[in-house]
Formats: sequence, structure tokens, C-alpha cells
Amino acid sequence: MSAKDCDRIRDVLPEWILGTMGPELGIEMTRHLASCPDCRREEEVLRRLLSVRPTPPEGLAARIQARLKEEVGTGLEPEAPKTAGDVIPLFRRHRWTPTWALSAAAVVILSLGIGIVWNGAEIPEVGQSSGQVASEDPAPEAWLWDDGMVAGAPVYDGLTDDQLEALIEELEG
Amino acid sequence: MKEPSSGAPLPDEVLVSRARNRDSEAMDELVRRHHASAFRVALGILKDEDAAADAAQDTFIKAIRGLDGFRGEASFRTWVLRIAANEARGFLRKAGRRKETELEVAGPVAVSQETAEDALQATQETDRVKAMLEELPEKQKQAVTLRIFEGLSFREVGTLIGSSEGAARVNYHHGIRKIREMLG
Repeated sequence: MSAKDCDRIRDVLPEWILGTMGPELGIEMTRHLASCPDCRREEEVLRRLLSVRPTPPEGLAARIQARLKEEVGTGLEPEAPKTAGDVIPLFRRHRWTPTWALSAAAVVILSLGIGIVWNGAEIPEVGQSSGQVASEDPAPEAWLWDDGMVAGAPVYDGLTDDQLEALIEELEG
Repeated sequence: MKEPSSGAPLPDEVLVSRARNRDSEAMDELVRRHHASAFRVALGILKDEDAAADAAQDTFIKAIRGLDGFRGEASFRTWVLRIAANEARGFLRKAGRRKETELEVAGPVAVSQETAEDALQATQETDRVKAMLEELPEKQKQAVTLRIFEGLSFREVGTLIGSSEGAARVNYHHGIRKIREMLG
């Protein structure tokens, strides 16, 4: 019996005391321990250490299992929609909408409307070619609502500076 | 959970595969097999049974949710125990308790933190052995407890304590030698 034998035996003593050692090695272990007091002493130390192994609180496994069912679920729960035809959450569609494009479009429409009114708009009649503009046509009333709004914006072009200031004060309260 | 034909327990790999498909029986079996080890690993860091039990619960929630990220390079047990150690460290950080490095310097904490009732129930011998374990440097203590309490291989111990297989073996044997000297 050499020191190397003892080293090898002590490496696997935990499996021996835990009862997880294979039968062949177990026979060798029994023989070695019978003839080696130093390894028997180490075995005793390991058994004393194992005796203080903490045990989990009673019912811990059941608590974990219950929580798993609650939070993770089982195969019985419905799958989340995955096909292309399924409803796409609203926020995802909004994410793809370029808000700057909407703003730019609003500005263009507003500018066009105001420009038409200010410059004595010349709206080509249906059937006219794009190059022909009837300069004698009256301002297009269709763009001007009764409430003084053109394309969503109030028309203040008839007001003097004083009137405009008074209006602003009135609006601001 | 056993193989219907042979009656032999199913290996963890099979249970993990089934648990990925939300097989609740497979999940239950994995919990039954490994919850005690997860609890002890957490307890070794937290020194508090209630906190360790909470950490063990969170460990399995994270493990099962993260099964897709488990590539099987280590055993499921090693993987779960690593999660348990991380959870326990997270608990420590959240609670603003002393760091593990401080615990290492502090010495036998577990014995002094036990409640009076527990201390009365514990035998003098048990207290003595526990105190000896706590006196070991952290890596030696971890190597000894993971090897003896959990039966992990030196390679698995090394994975968990962040060292090589050889270093884990050295830490274990140094720890055992010191305990032997302390026991006299």
C-alpha cells in the first residue's frame, strides 16, 4: 500500500460515504480501509462533516413546484400567437409610422392652402392641363370654411397688427 | 420519475428535454432531485435559512425559464447550483449585507447567528464541526462542502468556485487536512 494508493482512495472517499460509489471500487475501498488506519481516520472525519449537512425546510420542494406551475406554467397553457395573420400589437404598428412624415405632410398641405388663399389661388379646373392656370378665376371658396379656417388653420391675413395683438391677448385670456 | 419500461430513474438530460416543452412532471422531478443542493449552496452564502429557501425558489424559476439557454456543457445540477450561488449573491447585494469576502475574514458566522432554540437543539459536536468548517478559507470551505454534502466531482466543484479541477482538488484536500488537525 503506497501513499499514491491513499491519495487515490481519499479522492473518492466522498462517493464512499455518500453511497454513490460503484461496486468494483467499493470492494477496493473496503480492502484499503481495512488495512489503512490513516484513511479510516479520514473517513471518520468525512462522516462527521456529512452529519452536519443542512437539510432544506420541510415542504420546500412542494413550494418550488407550486410556484413553477404558477409562474412558468405547463404545456396545457395556450401558445402565444406566432403566425403572420395574428393580431399585431398596436404599439408595434406605431413604431413603424414615421411621425416626421405626417408632420411634413401637414405643413405642406397647410402651406398650399394658405398660399392659395394669399395669392388669389388659381385652382385648375378639372380637365385643364397642369400647365394652364386660369388667373381670372375667383378665389376658391371651397378651401375656406365659414369659421375662417383654411386647411385647419385660422385666417388672420385681413387683420391689422393692432387687431392681431388684441386677438392674441384675448386668446391668451 | 422513472422510465416506464426499465423502472430506472430517467437521467437529468431527458427530464431537461421534457421540461423545455413545459412537461410539469419533468419539472417537478428536477426540483425534487436538486432543490436540497440549491438550498445548501444558497445557505452557505446567505447564512439564513429563510433567505436560502427564497433563493432556491428563485433559482428554479430562473432555471426553468432559461432552459433554452442551457447548452448542456455542464450537468444540469452544476448549472442549477451556479444559478443558486448567483441568486444568493444577488440576495446579499439587495439586502446590503456583508460581502462574501467579509464573511471569509469574519470566521465562524453560522454558529454565532443561529437562534437560541437551534443552538439548544444542536449537539456540541455538531456546533464544533460547523464552526471548524466556517473557519476554513472560503474556497476550501466551498470545495469541502460541495464535495461532501453534494458529491460533486472536482471538475464540477472547480466550475462552481471558479477554479480549475486541479485547484478544486487542492482546496478540498487542504480543507480536510485542516479539519483533521482541528479535530485532533
